[in-house]
Amino acid sequence: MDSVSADTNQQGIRINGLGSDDHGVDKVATDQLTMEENGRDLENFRLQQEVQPSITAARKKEFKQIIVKCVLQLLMIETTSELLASDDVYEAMPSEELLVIMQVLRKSYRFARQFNNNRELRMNLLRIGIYLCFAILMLGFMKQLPNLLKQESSAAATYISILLRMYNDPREERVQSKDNVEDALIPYAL
Amino acid sequence: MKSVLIRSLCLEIVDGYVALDEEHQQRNIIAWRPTLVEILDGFVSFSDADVHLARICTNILVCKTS
Repeated sequence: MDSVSADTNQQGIRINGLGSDDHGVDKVATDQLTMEENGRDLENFRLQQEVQPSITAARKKEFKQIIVKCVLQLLMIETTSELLASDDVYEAMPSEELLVIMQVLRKSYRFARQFNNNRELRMNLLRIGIYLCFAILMLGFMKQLPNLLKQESSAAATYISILLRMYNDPREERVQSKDNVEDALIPYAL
Repeated sequence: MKSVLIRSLCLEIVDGYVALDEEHQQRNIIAWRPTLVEILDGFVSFSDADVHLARICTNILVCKTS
């Protein structure tokens, strides 16, 4: 693995030295490798003393992606909540579709709850996260135990408010869908 | 059946909220507050609202005095 990247690096140097445009793809690949190399240097520089979680470029990328996913999840919950708060949207949506959304919300809530209750996992994430934040220069980002508190509470709030609204809805279609509601909910029973 | 499920989830959340520590878990309390409002609003709409509200009050008393 090391010899391969060294070869590619040499090639990268050669290409950069020649300033050739013919190897655009190679150049991009080399740039990525160089970044990875830098990351490795940084890692060696910083993490030698203590327990060292291996921080690769892929890992950093994954870490950033997870942060984005967490934020997106929150935004989606908020969007759902706001959309369904509108009477027009709520009334126009068929019960089946609503129930599908409800299931997803419930899953999101359960996942966040499980995560928040798993203190050991969160401690480990914090430990690794501090290194990662240093490595990707997001200093000060990981100051406290990571949590999905907002996801847990807002998913639950949206879930409950919509289900209660459906439950109290006297309209024919909603009343008819009550059996389906039960079927849809039972697999997720507490 | 459906209402039973919703209720058990709601009561679970209410119990979790009541158990939060006022001094050290302010963030949790603030995060859960809107959910609690939603739940209590919903409970009031049930025909047996008084039963549930009585249960919640009992829980609060038990939790805060123990």
